[in-house]
Amino acid sequence: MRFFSLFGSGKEKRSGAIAKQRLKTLLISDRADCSADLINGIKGDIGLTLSKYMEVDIEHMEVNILQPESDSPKKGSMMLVAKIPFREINKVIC
Amino acid sequence: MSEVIVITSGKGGVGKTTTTANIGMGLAQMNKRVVMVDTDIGLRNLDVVLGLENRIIYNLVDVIEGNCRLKQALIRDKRYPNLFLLPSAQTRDKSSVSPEQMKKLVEQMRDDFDYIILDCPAGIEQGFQNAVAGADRALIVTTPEVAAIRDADRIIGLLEARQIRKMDLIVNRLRFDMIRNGDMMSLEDILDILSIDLIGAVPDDENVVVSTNQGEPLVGRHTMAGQAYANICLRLLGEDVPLLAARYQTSWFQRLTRFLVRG
Repeated sequence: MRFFSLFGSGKEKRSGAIAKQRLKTLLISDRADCSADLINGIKGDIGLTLSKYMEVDIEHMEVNILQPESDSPKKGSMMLVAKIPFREINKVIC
Repeated sequence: MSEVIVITSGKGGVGKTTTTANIGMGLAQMNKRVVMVDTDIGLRNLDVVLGLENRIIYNLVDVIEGNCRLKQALIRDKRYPNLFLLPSAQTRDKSSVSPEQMKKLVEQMRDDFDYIILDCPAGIEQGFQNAVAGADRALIVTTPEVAAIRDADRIIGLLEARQIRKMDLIVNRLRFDMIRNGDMMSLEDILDILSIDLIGAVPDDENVVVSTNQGEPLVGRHTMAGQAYANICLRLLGEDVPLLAARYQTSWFQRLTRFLVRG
């Protein structure tokens, strides 16, 4: 099989590369794993802080912990990504 | 000044006990006073790998419970007078010992030994907690497989949280022919994924099976694994030894081509 692959299209990935790719994906989800309580705590606190400035739709807020791609300049450190929908900016304080 | 080293992996069957036996004996060959502690209570193995199974009278749990003095439980190795084993109990379970008791026991041995090597059980439960409690540094053993590396990553995370001063990786059972064919993750692949220093790479060597059968660790012998273990010991002593594995990961043809290109 190895012999033929020399002349083939070379598209077939060797199992070592497959293992590495599977492992990378696996570790991202393993490392980012944190309890739902923690995420909810962060979500609540961010919502509370921001509600001073805007009317936040806390129910539809999304908070995730991500590992950046290895070619990103911030490689190595994890990232907290939040989607915070709001209805209106509180004009009085701004 | 003594150093307490825990040998751990998370996953079972990757070679923790073999690594412990070879590193312990290797350091003893280098004239260090060494004690190896089998912390796997209920599943005693290290004595067998060392060929000392017929000499056990007292064990770790006996010492902790005060049934005997520490000196009575320590078994002197038949090959090196400066090498000792504290065997584990076979008929007890992990809850017989607490992390505090383990820590105290290790502290008690610091004056008499240069290296205290703890063979950690698989898993991350009580046995693991006991073994890492008194450790200064950790050697994490893994093999080039997805499951073993995943578990190693988890262990690294747990040890970081415990503020273990130093952690190093040992990659065991490397098959250089498979790496060259692309059918096994290479050392570079593994180090790229686990952000930890490498202290040794041990080839998959059938001599390890033979030596385990005989109860005679092969460290220092003229076999690939024997040399690899001896190199790990030298690196533990602070010497800068090049990796044996580096040259085997490329074929003789690749090396020749590189040599000719370099001129």
